[in-house]
Amino acid sequence: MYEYVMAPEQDVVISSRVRLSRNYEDLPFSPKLTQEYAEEVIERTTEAVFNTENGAAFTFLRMADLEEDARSRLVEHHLISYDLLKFVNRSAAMISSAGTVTVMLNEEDHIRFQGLLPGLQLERSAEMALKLDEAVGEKYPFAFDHQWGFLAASPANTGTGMRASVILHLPALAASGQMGAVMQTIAKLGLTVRGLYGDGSEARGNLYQLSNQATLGRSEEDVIRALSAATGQVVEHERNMREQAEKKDMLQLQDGLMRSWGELMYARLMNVGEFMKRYSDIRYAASMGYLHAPLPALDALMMDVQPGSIGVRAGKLMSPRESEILRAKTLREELKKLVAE
Amino acid sequence: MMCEECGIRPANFHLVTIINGERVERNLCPTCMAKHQKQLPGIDFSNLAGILNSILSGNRDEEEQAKLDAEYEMCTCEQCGMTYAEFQKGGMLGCANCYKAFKTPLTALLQRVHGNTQHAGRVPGGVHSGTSIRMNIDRLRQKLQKAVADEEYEQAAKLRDAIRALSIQLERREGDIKVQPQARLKTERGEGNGDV
Repeated sequence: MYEYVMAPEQDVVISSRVRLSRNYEDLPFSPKLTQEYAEEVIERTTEAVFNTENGAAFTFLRMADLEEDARSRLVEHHLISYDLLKFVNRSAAMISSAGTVTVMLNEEDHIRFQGLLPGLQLERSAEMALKLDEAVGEKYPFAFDHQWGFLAASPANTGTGMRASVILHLPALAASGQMGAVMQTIAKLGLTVRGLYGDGSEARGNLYQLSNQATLGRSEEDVIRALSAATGQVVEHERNMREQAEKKDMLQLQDGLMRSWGELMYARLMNVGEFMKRYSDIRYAASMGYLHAPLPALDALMMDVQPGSIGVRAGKLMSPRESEILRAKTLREELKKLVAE
Repeated sequence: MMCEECGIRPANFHLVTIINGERVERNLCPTCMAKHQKQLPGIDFSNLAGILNSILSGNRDEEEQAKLDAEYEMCTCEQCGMTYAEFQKGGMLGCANCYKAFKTPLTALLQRVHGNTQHAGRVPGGVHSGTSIRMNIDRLRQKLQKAVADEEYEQAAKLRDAIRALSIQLERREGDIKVQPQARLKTERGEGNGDV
């Protein structure tokens, strides 16, 4: 029997992430980073991180050593950034066994520390990243200026170097046609909102990412507090819309959502685009109690059937059709297990 | 909103392109927009009023930045050899010293990007952190006195806020409270299907 722990606000908030950009003060930044200096970044950081209290929990991976699917899998599970793959020849990552802490090396900055937790847990994600940042920075000083804070390769990240974000599941808000208004309000608060997958206001799976824009002029605590508060408001809004939809016509709502369950349980071919729509529906249904499937398991499964991850599962290169077959099969098996418990 | 292409300049343009029947929307700054205009056919001008409006409001800052950019184009960082023109093209600096070498145009850039030019967050860990915050506060107090004397009240208000933020931080550090876990919101609350 599996045991699932629900994270705070997990009916709407899928995960919370905090990333910190840091650069060693005596090494050239990304545009001038030679292979030799990149190795120095890796040597220093791995040494410092492995020697921290929980250092043994980290696995070190060079991007050049990984197959393409394995790299994509890490991006799909939010363990590394997509940008880390722009520098495959020099980039690496250290990932904690629980996947909650990642250290990205030789991305746009020498280091990106990341804390990642399910639900709305920005403070704790920040704590995890900052703790590691301090441990490494004590050993090898980071580029820092009293006026401008931590110096990043891109001035857009200078200051705290902190980018905090939450991934939100907003099916009811999206269906109500109010996303545009919500986005505008959020932009006024100095926060950015965008579809997690796809461009502009269209978001696959009704997943949206909310993050801070500026990194200079506000403390880490302030930014986290503001983002948490804004997230809390969006969460309330989404819950209200879900309730309203239920009040309006519960049977209609259930019918629409549960049909997606049927598709997933019996489909023989499933592409990612369709899957994300169905996933959004069954997650919505589970959050309303129409379907007894644990949300953390649904979210984990969602990541596990993304293109790279499904490739890793197969252990071989697949044609698009083979991927669709394996995705459909995996979903049938895993979803059956979830509701059987 | 920042430009989705360079990530540095504010986005003043909303570019809608239809490629093979698929609608792609992007928010771009004037520089990146210019690049696209050359490359892409079929620009949708349906949002023309909004575009014009944002150009007019962002125009003055743009002009000032453009002037500074032109002035510093040939400027080179002696540490890593990065030129300002190179930075403008790639959007990334070459080393910590670049921030000193290009201080003037970067100050203007940071102000536009972040709406601020004074760091108010953490300082590197270790024994010196408290000291450096205090040094920072002292420096800002001197600036504040000067700003008040010169009757630059807007600037003075900004400095006052920065001093306040740093003072709070100093208090926290000395109380040895690192990241204050804020009032736990509604955390730790198990709900829904947690015990399946």
